[in-house]
Amino acid sequence: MRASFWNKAIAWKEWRQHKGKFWGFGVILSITPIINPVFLFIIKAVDKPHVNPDPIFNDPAAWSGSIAAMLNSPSNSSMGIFAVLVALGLGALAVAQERSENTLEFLVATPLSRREIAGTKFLVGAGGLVCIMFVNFLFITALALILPADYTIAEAFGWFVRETAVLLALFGLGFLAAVVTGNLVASLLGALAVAFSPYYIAVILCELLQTLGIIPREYAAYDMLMNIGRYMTLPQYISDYQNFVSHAALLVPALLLAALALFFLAAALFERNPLERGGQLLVFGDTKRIIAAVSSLFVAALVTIAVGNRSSNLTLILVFLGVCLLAAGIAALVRK
Amino acid sequence: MTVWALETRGLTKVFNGEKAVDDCSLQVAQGSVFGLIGPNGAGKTTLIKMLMGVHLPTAGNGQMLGKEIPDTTGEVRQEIGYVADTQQMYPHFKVEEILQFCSMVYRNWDRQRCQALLKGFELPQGKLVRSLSKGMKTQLGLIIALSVRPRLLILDEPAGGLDPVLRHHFMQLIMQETAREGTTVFFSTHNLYDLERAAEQVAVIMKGKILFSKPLDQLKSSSRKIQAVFPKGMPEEARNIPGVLRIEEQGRIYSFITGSDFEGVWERVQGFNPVYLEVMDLDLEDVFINVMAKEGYTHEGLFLE
Repeated sequence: MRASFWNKAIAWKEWRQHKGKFWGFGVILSITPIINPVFLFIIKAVDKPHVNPDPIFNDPAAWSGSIAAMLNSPSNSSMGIFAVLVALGLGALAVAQERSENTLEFLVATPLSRREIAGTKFLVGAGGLVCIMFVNFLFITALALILPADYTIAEAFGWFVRETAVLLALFGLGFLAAVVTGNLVASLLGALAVAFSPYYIAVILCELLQTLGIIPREYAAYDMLMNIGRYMTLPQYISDYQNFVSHAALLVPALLLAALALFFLAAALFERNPLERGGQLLVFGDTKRIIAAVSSLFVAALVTIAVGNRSSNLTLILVFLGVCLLAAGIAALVRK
Repeated sequence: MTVWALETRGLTKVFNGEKAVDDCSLQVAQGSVFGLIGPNGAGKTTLIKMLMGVHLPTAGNGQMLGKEIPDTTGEVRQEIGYVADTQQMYPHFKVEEILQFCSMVYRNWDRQRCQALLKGFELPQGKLVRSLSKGMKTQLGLIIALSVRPRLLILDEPAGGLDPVLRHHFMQLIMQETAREGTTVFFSTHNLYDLERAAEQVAVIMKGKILFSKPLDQLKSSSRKIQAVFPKGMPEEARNIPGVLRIEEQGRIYSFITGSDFEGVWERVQGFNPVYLEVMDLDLEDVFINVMAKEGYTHEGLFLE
């Protein structure tokens, strides 16, 4: 019998356990679209008309300027870095909090399948995120319907779809990070690392390949690698929003598919999660060996790039391999 | 034909290259009370966590209530009541919320029974789990386990953290459940008194391996103390009688502790024509200590300076 991805009891428990977070994160994400204009209206309402006679409602820019700016460029509002952190955090906390409180053991010992646990956790978290975004969208749409505004409902809808797609993919990334890591700090740091690092990895890789003479800067492969790094770095969709808008027809479905893929991957990995490794950095593989390998490659790449200007390509390849071996050797000694 | 409520076949769990449970094969008859004993770190909790799906076995499989383990659907746990060694419930939930969650999860949840148990244990429903003492958490664990109307109860060190009165109450409830409902009980313990009182079948686990699994009566009858006095001191050959776990000397009295084949040892000792010969039963603690000693598990006395 195949277990489903949804269970009502877990959904109830998730809401009970995380409702404070949902409200808190909801408030953070609604600073620009809801809290700002509401405060503005309240201040104007209590302000004496003879001191400030021009009513705010007649001046669209006065109350909707910040919303219009958010719709054009979310990175300058609470929908920028805050939203990225909220989505990653919400995804990571769904699993990591259970690990830190050791409650996962209680949960998996009940007649629930691991698939139901992972699936429901994901769906409740993602659903909460969509709800928060939908409330924001509804509010700014309602305002645009009753007051003259600097933005249109179509713009608001476009923003809602695009921003929600990015946040869902980020949520999936945070959730996946929490499934493969063994504690709260590792989950949060891991989520941040996988969200922000692809672009920097692409930069280092391109620099390295260029230094070694494998890909000259003017080659298409160089741009392709950089673009892959850029597209895989989810916060870039918010920081480089205009580029995202111009390719939204393709990127929004791609982001939703990415969220779906992360959901299935996380659920599959959670089903095989060794819970006894809770508290450790990673729950799969040999953590020390993985860190040693990654840091060796990183150090070797940086050294090679640094000495790149003064040496021939062959020397650089040897430097790269030499530093790789040296770093791996040091790591092995440290492990012993 | 015996129907097994629980059967494991070569269940193995490896942590960081070390076998915490090694090729464990057990059979627990339906309606019986099965006790698992072993020293600290022997693998009792790991074995139980594998049965409950908390840990995934590295190798081996088994059946519980006719369903395969490991069970990915969780279906098998619908009819199992489980009390863990430490209760890891949601600390920010109230007792009533934990019970509400369980009532949504278990199909056979018995609200009346749950209320009766809550009343019996005098557990405040409005209290947060984090403010409960260890004993109260264990009581909550037992309330959940029994409200499920289980066909199999799995208890990991269930009486830990309970005062003697509650411990008595606790064991009585389990015994009632077995007697009235025919529930199979599988429990691990350090407390040999509880084991002696409740278990019909006993398995000893050490360093992850099951040393043996046998009826308690058989274990006790095979482990006895034969006291003998020989006219010219103990013959050298008597030191190498097979089946003798240990020989104790007290003046002219020699005590032969038997681990198995009591009859054989008795006949061999008789063959040395002792002037005095007597059989004494061992209590379970002595049996356990002797069995462990045979496996090399002993502690030198510790003295503080």
